[in-house]
Amino acid sequence: MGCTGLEACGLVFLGWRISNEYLDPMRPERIFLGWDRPLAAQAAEWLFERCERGLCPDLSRWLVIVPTRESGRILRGALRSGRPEGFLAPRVVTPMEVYERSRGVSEKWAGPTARLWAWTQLLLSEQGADCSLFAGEPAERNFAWALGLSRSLCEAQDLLSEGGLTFSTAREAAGHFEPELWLRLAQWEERYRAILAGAGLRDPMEGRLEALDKASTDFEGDSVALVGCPDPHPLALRLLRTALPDRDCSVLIHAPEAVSGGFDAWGEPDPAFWQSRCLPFLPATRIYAEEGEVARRTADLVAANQFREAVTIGVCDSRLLPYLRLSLEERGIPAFDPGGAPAHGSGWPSLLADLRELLREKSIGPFRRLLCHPAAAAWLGLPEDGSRRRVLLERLDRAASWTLAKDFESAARREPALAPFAEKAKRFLSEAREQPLATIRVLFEELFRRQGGGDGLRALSDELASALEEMEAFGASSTRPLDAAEALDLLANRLARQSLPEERPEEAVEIRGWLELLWDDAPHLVLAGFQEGSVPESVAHDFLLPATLRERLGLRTNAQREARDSYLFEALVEQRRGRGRVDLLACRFSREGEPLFPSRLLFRCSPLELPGRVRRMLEARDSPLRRQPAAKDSFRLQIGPLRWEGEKRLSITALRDYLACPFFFFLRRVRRWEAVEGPPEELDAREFGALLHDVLSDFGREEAMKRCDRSEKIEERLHTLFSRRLRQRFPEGLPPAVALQARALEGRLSGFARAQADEVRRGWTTISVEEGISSSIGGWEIEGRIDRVDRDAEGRVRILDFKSAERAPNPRPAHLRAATGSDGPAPALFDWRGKRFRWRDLQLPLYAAAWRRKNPAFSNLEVAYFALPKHRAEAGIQAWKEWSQELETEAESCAARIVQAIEEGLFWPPADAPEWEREPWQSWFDGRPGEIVSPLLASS
Amino acid sequence: MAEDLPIARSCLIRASAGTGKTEALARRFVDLLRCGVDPRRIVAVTFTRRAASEILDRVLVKLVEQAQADAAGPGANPGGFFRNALASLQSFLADLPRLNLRTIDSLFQRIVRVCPMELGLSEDFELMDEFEAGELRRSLLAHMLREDGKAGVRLAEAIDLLAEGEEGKSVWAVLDRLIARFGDVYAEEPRRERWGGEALCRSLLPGWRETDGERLWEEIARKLAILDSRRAEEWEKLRPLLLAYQGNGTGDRVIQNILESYDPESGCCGEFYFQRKKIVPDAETGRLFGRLARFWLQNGLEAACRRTRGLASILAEFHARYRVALRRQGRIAFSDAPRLLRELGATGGGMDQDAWLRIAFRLDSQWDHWLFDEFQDTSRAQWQALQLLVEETIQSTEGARTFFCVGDAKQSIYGWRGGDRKLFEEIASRYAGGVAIERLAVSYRSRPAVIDLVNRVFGDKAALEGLYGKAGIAWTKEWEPHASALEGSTGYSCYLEAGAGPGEPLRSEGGVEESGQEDEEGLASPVGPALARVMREIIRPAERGLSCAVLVQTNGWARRLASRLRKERVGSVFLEGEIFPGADNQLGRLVAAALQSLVHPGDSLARGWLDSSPLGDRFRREWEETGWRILHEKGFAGVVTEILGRLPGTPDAFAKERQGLLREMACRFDQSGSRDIERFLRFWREQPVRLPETTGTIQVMTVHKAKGLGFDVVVVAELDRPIRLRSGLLEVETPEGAAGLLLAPGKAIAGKIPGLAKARAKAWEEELFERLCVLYVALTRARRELYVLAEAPRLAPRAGSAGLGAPTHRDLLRRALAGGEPRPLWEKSGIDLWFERGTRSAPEAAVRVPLEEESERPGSLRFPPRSVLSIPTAPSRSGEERAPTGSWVPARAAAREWGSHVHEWLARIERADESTQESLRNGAASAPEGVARDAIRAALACLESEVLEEVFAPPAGTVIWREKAFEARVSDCWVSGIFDRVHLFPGPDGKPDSAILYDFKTDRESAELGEEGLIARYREQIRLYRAALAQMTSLPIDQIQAILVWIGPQRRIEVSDSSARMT
Ligand code: SF4
Repeated sequence: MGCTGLEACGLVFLGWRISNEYLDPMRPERIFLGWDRPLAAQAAEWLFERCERGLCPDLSRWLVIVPTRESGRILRGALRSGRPEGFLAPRVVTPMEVYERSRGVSEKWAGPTARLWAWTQLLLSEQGADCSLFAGEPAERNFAWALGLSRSLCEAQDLLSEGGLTFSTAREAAGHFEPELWLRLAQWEERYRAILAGAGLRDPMEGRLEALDKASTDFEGDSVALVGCPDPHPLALRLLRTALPDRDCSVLIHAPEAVSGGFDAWGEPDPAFWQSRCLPFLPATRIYAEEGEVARRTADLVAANQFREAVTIGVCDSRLLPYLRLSLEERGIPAFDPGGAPAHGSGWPSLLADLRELLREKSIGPFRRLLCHPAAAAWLGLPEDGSRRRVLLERLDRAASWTLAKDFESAARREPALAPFAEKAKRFLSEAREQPLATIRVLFEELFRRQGGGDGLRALSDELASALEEMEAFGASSTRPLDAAEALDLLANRLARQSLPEERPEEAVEIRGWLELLWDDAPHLVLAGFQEGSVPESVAHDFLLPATLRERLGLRTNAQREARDSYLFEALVEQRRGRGRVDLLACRFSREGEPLFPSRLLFRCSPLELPGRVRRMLEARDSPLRRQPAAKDSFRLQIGPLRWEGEKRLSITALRDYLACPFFFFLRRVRRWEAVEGPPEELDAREFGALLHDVLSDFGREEAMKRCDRSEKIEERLHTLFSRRLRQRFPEGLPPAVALQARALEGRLSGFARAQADEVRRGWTTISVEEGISSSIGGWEIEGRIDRVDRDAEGRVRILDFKSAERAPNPRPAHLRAATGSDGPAPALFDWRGKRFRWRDLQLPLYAAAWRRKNPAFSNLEVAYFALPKHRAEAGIQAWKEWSQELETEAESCAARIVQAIEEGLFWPPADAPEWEREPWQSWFDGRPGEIVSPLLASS
Repeated sequence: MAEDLPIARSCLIRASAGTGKTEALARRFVDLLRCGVDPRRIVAVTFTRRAASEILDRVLVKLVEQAQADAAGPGANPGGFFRNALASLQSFLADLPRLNLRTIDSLFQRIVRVCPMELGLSEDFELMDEFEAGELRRSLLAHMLREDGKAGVRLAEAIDLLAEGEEGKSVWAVLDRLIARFGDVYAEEPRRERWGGEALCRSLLPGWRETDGERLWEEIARKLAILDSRRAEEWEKLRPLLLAYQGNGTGDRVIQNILESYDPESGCCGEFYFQRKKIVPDAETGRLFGRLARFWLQNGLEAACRRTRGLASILAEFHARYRVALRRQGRIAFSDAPRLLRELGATGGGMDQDAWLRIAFRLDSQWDHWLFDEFQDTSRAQWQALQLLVEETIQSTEGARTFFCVGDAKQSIYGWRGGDRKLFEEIASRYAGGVAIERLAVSYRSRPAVIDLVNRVFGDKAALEGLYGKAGIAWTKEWEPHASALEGSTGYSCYLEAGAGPGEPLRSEGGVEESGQEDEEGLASPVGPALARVMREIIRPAERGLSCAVLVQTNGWARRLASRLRKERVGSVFLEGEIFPGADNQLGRLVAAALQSLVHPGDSLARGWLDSSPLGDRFRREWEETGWRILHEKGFAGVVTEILGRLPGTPDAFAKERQGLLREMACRFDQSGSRDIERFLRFWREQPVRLPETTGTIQVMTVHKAKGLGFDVVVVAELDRPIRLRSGLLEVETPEGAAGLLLAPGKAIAGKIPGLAKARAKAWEEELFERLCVLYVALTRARRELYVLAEAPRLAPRAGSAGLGAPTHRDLLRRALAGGEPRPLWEKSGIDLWFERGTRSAPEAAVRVPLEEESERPGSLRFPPRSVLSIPTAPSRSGEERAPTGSWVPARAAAREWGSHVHEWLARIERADESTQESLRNGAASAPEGVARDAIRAALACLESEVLEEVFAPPAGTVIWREKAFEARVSDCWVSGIFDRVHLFPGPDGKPDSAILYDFKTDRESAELGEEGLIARYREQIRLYRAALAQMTSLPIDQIQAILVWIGPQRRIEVSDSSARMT
């Protein structure tokens, strides 16, 4: 046998029939243990008192039914403490595990995944399409929709099983409640069973109901005890009721004889009794304004205990759990949840999601994320190696932004380094298309091989494996084969509500859910999140089984839940009255601001007391406001030494950065800091402009077009040139987004064509295009490239720069502005015509000066922007009207001032430049580099 | 419950700001309870979660008070109620879970929850928060942009229609903006033909069509002798431009002039200016120009329709994807709920009686009593979804159903979000007589000085009507002077105007700048420095312990003023009552830098930043190796802990606070299970944490965010911008009844098409009214002190913009408040005081709630050792390795199944007698082919095997244990296991004196393994079992033989002591 421990006792036995239909059901024996001591210890004592005395204490004839596996673990712990020398253990099972004793060997029962898939198949089948289950079903019948609906149907089946019902039997009981719906459900259930049967499976609930019907359970003459089980699954009780010679069944109740009126024969709390019972109001009841405070206070209470094991945290409201864990972590208290940690925290769901996305869309995103996932990367062939991964990711970014491709394959074609990984992924995709399940099996085997061990991982792996097995069981019988992405959907679904066992850290404090608390024996209990809606838990499954119908069908009702929780609450408190303490914490608002309310159990008291209790609750709103401490920078960035490194060579555009802010210049031009944005969807503004420039300079080079003044012809030519450029840039075809942008570009080209024709008509001809220029200023090479130079018949020469901003810029304000006082870096400032000015850009003046030096024959120089804005009517020359040579000279001396400042390492302090207010710089420097950075000056 | 309740059955309350809407609603609720109404039949809806909980609290407080009053005095029952307060309280508390006291959003969500299937949602659908909704939009947009094929073509066509070749560089930006602006409108009105449809176009401009522009031009040219030669040449030059005119863009001045002179009635043009010369056409020419104008109108209208259709198809493309995505991912946004419900009715036109019956049944309740808070904010869509029920209630003649709503048309500032103040009026007028109407005008929030200012501004009929026209008239109809309930307590209000200091240039010279005009404007505004000074020298919120808000209209202004105040270091400044822990401090940035440089190693900016941080490049290199593993194993919370944990030094108070928030954010993100760094970083930067109202700080926020809040001190700014029509999308109705939406063409065109002109005027009136509401809401937020701060008009008013029809709030304030000459607030400050009331005072000593004292320590509780801590070892009983891969090998799974079947059969065998064998044979015969039958056969073979005879046929008198679970403590550790089979042999005294322990092994790889292998595998297990058995039976260990029974090859293998060495 593969399993050990008592959980394995749910063995499968061939049953022999006890038919007791003719027996009058007799009352089981109720035993009131009292509630002044821990339940487990009391139960253990009670059992040992009744064990067979042979060679050793022998409880092996006992079948003990406890509410949950965890309570079984606690009971066994108590038994061990009672007889350390050893004993033959009783079989401890949960109520529904009783059914597993009655199965025939030959049956194959459908697991949760098989059930889901059966429903899904049905919903997506033609039959399903012909008649819809609900009025006005969705436009799109896809797998996701079917899966969601299947989940609900399975859940509804499970709920109905509480009353021993199926859709068809419920239909009779439902009567006039939505009769057509129930009729359809009943019919559909038949088909669902047929699908299961096709794969040799049966619905497990069907088996249970059959077992109940036949009462075919083998208790082998065991003694049966139902211990501390105030709320067993009703179906389990029914089985006991019908199949058990009741003289042998003892019901152990964790309550004193005095409240015997509060329980029925099977120890279930009686709603009428508990509804009218006054519940204790603890002195240590605290209602806080907000969830976070509950978490903090809980951690404080735990920390105040001398021994960790003296205290248990009862988390009544599971939404509190993450905050609670954080608060504990902040105080360095390890926590342990015997119920396990939710699987969604494990990172596996996200891996499954990435694989699904890869299968469905073959896009770069999931491919990149798989490369980053340790196990998945290894599967793709990338060993755990930081620097190799770094290089690959860099390449991937580069390829993605160059190709703008949506699929990883085209990106990989651009960067050979990515090829082997893309190849592996591609192979996976094609294999998954051929043989989805087998491929997934192989994939998971590899992925799990690369993970460490651990109970949690093993449980996860088992869970996924058995889900896959269930899918495989359908194999041939399925009419609609599952594709790999859908299979992954089902696997993800299996994980969604799974908890994985976690390691118990040393000195950990235990965290338990509300329903697990009855068995807990810690002397100090902190009930955190004692909120309405959680205690008593409100169950909504309204769309099929609203409360009234539930009641009518004999399913568990809210009143029963309330009775159970009232009992639990009192028992928990009573158990610690003499020997421990209970703290109760609740709050009025969730962390996200959603209003909450303390449990209504707190108001279960005599009318006289009620106003007082309500007042206590209301006081919580006035709890002290959280004060925000004044903002402070936790550290500064140490950047430096601030000095120029490299050759004495600068581009004219770099000078603009210095004019904006010397420190910005340092980061961008000396340190070459450059951001990478996420995967681009389209050409960014820079590339857009570059493409436009390229086309225009191609055009300018065409001798034949130089004198053309017909805008249609020009436009036609431009379009030819443009499509050539596009083909060069995107040899694999135009990405759709670029195709859309191309229209914008074409719009600008038509604007250009019109303006260009006008200019030619005015007598202008292009004389040079993309002319490189360079001047030596202050011993530095200052370089640039002039977009275009035109000349007219009168010998005027005009230096042009193309500007593709959305709105037409004017060259003068782009270069110069009036300065007030001392804004901007010192080299930018100058006086001109009696006024103070500040350079913002030196581009056109420096172009002009350099060009003039190169071509001294031309003295009549103008400078202008050739603006190509969004509105094509606005395209055209934007001349710098008051242009003068003086400005050229001044610009050159400004450049000289700048290079000198650069040589002297003058990069500090930063100026108030708009660059700092723009992303991405804004988010890194908060618009105030001067405060965030502590510079290492070059001199020091 | 009695038929007739002792309260007004239908009641509508107009409650001005601060007059206790919540209180009125809570009172009504209590009255209903005391009338004996079953709490679950009451539906009370409001707009914010805070308000919902506030109402709940007030209901409780009232009931408690009334109960105590009842207890004190003899049961005086002035209201004639049926139920006493205590019983009402009890019933209220008992029904907590079924209470419908909620936000309207959550009410709809509740309804959707009961019919998800009908809506194509899965039952466990979740609600998206703002971040998630944004992410969804982003991903849908990305998909749209990446689609080729038909969808791509459709999108391209739509963009062509919309932009007519004048697209911006970034398609993304265009789509993003359009969807943000018009997405909701489309969701409300998805009928495509209403979006600039042909019919609409035709009915707006019925009659003949001017198609041949060229001919018309020629005809005009013939008549244009009136022009001199130079003008004639100019005119001819304009020909292409003029003929191409379609109503948007700048066009030429002459177009405006001709259009202005056009009279739609006669179809003729009058005199107009061309090139600064007045042209006076004769009748004939006037008609020709009229036709030209008509030509423009027609082209302009058609272009507008085309653009509207383009817009609609873009929105439709998006919307279709959105609807699919909602269902696919099982998440909806709040605003989707009422829209989804509209699809429910059988006719598709909203929820019908049938749908409601079904829903009511599933909701398990009958809703008889409706209470609406802030009714003016209810949207048409929300109303339509509930209308059926509510109107039934109002019309009902039974006394047992009631309706109550409270609202204030003056505070309807959510028109852009669908809030529809007219609903309020509709109900009031439709059920006039049947509905009791009340007014509340006494403020419990604001002090008299504040109320004075409010009364002066909003009671100035002349100013309002003069400046705001029809909207002003509508407003004065709503208006009733306010009073303050806090008569006698000190308060203060004033109106200030800040001018530019001398010599400062107001705006940069030259043309339009690339960086956008608004930034420049904001930077240049003197309001910023004035605000800073007033804050520092007069208001001093920190010093005076006051809560303080600066209210503006737009996000841009809020951002700019906040950063201005921060730069001037006036105190702690918060924007929109929110903080961004991931983005507003160095710790958050550090985490972002580490993650960004991990996922985009080429980002030298992030990398450089990280290297310059105290962690330095050594950490970065290590991080590149370990980061991914930490992320995948521990999630983002683990990453944050790791990174922040590396920072040297002890954190100060601020750092501690932020660390806590950052951990929490990461933890919250981890709940989604995602490990996507890019998504995380967006979350990190964009996710705000809301702050409660705090004293001593300055909250800069938009009026919309401040709705429903109150502050000790309020400064209202951004009052000087001329009001513009924001929407651009006109709701048009034509006399023929065609209705639709149209992207408004330029004013010149729209003004001459009667239907459009009307729609425009209506939209304009709405806009003006809503702007007044915004101002009203802003001014009424103040409790003690109100500062209204406008920018003084610039010396040279911009031509045209301040003309008729574009008032600013400043115009109103000046007219209403100014009396006489203003005086400077400080010498040479440029800030003038125009109006002042009341006095500033130090606030009463704030009532500090003492910090809760730590209750007594739990100390050391005494308790016996707890059993939870004894963790048993369960020695491996099978050959399966514990590695998780095991489950993926199919053979293993089968082996496991076989093994468990074999064990199960063997456990049932007491002795190998004939009857047992017989039953096994029968079992094998009846079992289906497969593992199950194989297992029975294997068990049978064991029984028949000679080697194993002693196992199943022990001497008589032997005590046999089969399949016994045991627990024992062996050498300090707990062993928990199952004995497969034990034979206990009786000694001379009849008590057992020796035993054999059999352990069945079903390992199948016999050939490779061999006996030695098997022993090695199970030695440790057998040693523990044997020791446990010895201890339990008190037999000497050497009297216990341990034997492995290997089922497959049918072998007995003794595990002797010598071979059972300790590992
Ligand atoms: S269209 Fe242009 S290129 Fe062709 S001939 Fe005429 S001017 Fe020359």
